[in-house]
Amino acid sequence: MTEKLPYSVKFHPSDHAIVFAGSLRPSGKEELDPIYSCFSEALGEVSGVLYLNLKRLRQLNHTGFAHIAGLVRNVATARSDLKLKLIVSSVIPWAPPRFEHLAELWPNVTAEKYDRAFYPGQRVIDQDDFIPVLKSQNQLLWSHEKEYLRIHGLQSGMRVADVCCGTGEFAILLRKAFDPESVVAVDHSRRFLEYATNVVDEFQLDRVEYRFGDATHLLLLDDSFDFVTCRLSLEVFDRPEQIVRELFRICKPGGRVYVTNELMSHALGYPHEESIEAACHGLVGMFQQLGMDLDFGPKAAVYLKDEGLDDVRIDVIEINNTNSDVEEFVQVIESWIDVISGELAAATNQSAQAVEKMRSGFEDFIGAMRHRRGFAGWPIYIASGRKPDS
Amino acid sequence: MGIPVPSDHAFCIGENGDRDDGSVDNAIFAARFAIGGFASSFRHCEQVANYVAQFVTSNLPDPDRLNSMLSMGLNEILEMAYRYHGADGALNLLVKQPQSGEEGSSLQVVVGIPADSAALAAYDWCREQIGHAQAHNHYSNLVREGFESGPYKACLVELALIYRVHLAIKTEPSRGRATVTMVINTNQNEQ
Repeated sequence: MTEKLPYSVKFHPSDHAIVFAGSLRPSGKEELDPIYSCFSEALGEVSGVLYLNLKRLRQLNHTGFAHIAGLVRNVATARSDLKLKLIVSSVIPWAPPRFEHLAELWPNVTAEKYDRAFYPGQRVIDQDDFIPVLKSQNQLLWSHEKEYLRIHGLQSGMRVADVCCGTGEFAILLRKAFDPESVVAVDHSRRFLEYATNVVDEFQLDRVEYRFGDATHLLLLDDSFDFVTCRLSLEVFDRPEQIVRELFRICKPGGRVYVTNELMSHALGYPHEESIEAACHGLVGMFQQLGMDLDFGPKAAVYLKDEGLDDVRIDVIEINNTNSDVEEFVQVIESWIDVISGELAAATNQSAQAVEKMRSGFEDFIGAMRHRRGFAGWPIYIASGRKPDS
Repeated sequence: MGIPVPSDHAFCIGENGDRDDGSVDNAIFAARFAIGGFASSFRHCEQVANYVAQFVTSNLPDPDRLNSMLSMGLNEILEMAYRYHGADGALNLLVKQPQSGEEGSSLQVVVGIPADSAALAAYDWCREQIGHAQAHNHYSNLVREGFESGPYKACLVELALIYRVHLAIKTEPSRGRATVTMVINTNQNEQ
């Protein structure tokens, strides 16, 4: 019987890409025939550019690397008409230095850290400015969300994954309220994870583990969690289906995937409703420039269905100044004001006038919250779905 | 940064002639394999590397990243041992976490290998390549020529030069032993 290879390699003609996955630690060339075949097939078909997608190659030994390097060298020297792009993930720590070195040797070879390109807003969101935003949002939402989590199937004793965990408060609150078997929380911001780890250490909490990871290529096993959450995050990626695919993959059959997202353009308030509406729409526009969709909320259910989840349920948390702690709500909006006035404005080339108009609109929003007869509302959409039994 | 060479009075794993340097203070994992059994299958390298990396990193910060790095590095050392070793003796493996300040926040891996003259020459070649003033240029040339002049044994050179892993290689012809010591920083925030 032929032994199954621990790696896979496939040429995708429509993408001009050779995609590697798994663990490539051969003892010699005889285990690399599929790779040589793939290169041969690809070189017969592509022109212009050939991508080597190495994002999901978890391990690669020197022997495997030497052969890939040899193939790259052959292409680079024999096909000067062809550009070779090596796509790696910074989550696999050994991959960037190895392949970046190859890119230094031949002019028509480049290496790109995929997740840097995939997270266009990361440079903005990764700022310290965002820590208060995430903290205050979590605090405000938790009082509502813990009940919805129960409704959407979270129970004690479950294995939970929180993907795109940000500063990690949600994992801590969930751990305390639901007593899960464990919570594994993943984010692509080392700054946030450092913050989260310090909090867990300070609180001396066990069964909460923070990991650095790429939400589109998680290093978590298939079918390994009963409940998978991804909160206020699909909205900040321009290809959310790639994350939903991973949420589905790591969820156990019979388990549930749970996501929340905003519908920012439907946030409202009065008095000064026009000013508030303009500010909320302005914020949506700013994030759009970075490839993010703050109106993603109601669209999430379709993504869950498209991925194959069934029993998809939708709820809306209507945060407003009558059902929430007003000062916590105020803190959220104040944190938004700080962000739009700082890094976000710079990243999206906002004029001083536009920033001032938004700042003024959000101050009106705060005014509406505190007004004796005022109203301020912020809708958060929940969508969850069940992974069918295999 | 150089790696401190363990002192003579350091505790040694292994017995008699198979002993290798490496204090077991702060040891996380230690194992001893008969070289014949270890080298009977190439797959042992990956199996041991993955198991040890999983075991050692499970309670450390950022375990996935560290696991990946430790598994990669240890696998290369074990593959080197698989290809270049003596006929008899033991392969000793020790992983420890030096006390804070001794190596910063790091993991130290010590692999002792029985080595015949051909194996000793291979380890000496690696040490010379790594320590050469033109080491990076030499390595780049190896890549350009498809590693033809250093098949397999360039794995340790790659480990030291490309990953900036601290690597020390010691050969002892009189004892027929080679020792490879690798230090991995556990706080690497490289992206």
